[in-house]
Amino acid sequence: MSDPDPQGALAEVRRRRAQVLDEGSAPWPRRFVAALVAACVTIGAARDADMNWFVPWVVVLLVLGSQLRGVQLPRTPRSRRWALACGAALIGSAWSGFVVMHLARTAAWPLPGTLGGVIASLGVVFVVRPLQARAARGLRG
Amino acid sequence: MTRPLDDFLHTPARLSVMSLLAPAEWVTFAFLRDSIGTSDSALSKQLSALESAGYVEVRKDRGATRSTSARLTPVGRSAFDAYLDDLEELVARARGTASPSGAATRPVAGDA
Repeated sequence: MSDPDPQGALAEVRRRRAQVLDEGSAPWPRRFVAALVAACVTIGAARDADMNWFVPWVVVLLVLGSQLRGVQLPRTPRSRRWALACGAALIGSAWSGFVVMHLARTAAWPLPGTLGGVIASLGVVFVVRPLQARAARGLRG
Repeated sequence: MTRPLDDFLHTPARLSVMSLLAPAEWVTFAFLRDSIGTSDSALSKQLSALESAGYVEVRKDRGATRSTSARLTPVGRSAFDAYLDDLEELVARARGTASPSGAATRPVAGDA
């Protein structure tokens, strides 16, 4: 292959830079959000079915799935703030799921764990995902 | 008088790898391979050459994901920045817009 001309080389650098920024600052793909929702409901259903041993496996798979991004951009103060908010929202969603599960169990409703999982998954879709998208956008500086 | 371009970096494959690594903290081997559209062995060869030159650090994750990632070292970053400065100066000279000191403006700046 021949060496690129300077103008072409600069264009290549710009194109590659845009490619990396697009990949590194993309929000969670729909498939990953769908997997998170499925995991929340599965964890709740596993508790209803007394399959608590299944819960850590789902968590491990989720953690592995979240690390599949091809590019890791350097954190900016803005992205760090939104990432903290996103983490807090994720914990809040899980907590609200547990609260609903215990309330449903106290009220003797059927499938309290699954109900809690559904509530947690709503938190993921409507609160965590938008915050994660902002944190990812913040990586562009 | 302009410096000659860094011949080691001024090849299409290495230029692509360095350009992909420059804005990022870490980039996975799979992303590099798919973006450049090359084979595993060809990319490994380029990464080894860049690693031997001290421009790139390669990390092999032994965890469950078993992924390989790469990033620029400080030496690699400054060599790439210097290479970009030289490229821009060459282009500016060709356009007749270079400053008397020889320093061209850097539209690609922000890679550091």
